[in-house]
Amino acid sequence: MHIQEKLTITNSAKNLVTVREFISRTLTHSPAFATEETGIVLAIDEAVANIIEHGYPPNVTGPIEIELEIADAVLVTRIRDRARPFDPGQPTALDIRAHVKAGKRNGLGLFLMRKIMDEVRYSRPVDGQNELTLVKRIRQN
Amino acid sequence: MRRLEMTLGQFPNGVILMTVKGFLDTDTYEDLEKQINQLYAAKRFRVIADLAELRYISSAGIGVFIAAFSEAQENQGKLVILNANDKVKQVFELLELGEIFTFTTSREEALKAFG
Repeated sequence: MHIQEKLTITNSAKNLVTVREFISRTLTHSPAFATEETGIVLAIDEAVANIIEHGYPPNVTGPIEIELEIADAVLVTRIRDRARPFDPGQPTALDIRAHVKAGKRNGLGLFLMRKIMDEVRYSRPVDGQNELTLVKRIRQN
Repeated sequence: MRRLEMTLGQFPNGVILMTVKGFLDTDTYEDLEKQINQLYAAKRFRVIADLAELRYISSAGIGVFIAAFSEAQENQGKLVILNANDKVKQVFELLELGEIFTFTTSREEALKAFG
């Protein structure tokens, strides 16, 4: 089975609902990934929300492209934008008790992305386009 | 339904019942934050958040609950979660918050959490 779907939105948080519906709709074609829908939708939503909140400068409208590719037991999500570079870097541990004690409300999205997905990779090709790649594999028994 | 709706009620013992419906994400979290800030400004730090009709939550929404939970504790209050569905609870659990927040499944149980 090979599925490839693409959605392009502008960097408005109002478009996140469209992103989530697009992911859910695409996953319905793959029974293996449909059971993982909640986590996958959340991880991609977090990635796109990061670009909307922190990528483009205020009052600048720019594109965000989300491409989902499912081949057998691997889902590859590529998220492309033309915002400022953002490299999520290496995974860091989350001390949630300290987070709660301090009443901190940010810094959770990247942790969720890494926890749900098997790979989170960033690359910035020469034409100024960021690409964040999220890979999810289904473990087959 | 609008993307996020909130209604407020109050129990005879003064505990606030805040019903949160819809979708809590980067687009809507500030509405919830504003609502909670208004409650806390009025020194209402004992709150039950009824999430029975909350259909989606992202880290932006969880972050509001973390800040609200922490501030309630600092003010000798409490924030208790009522009737979160499996999908919403799963996000709390992914963030290892399952044992930090109090999750309840009936109003009676939620009220008991206030002693």
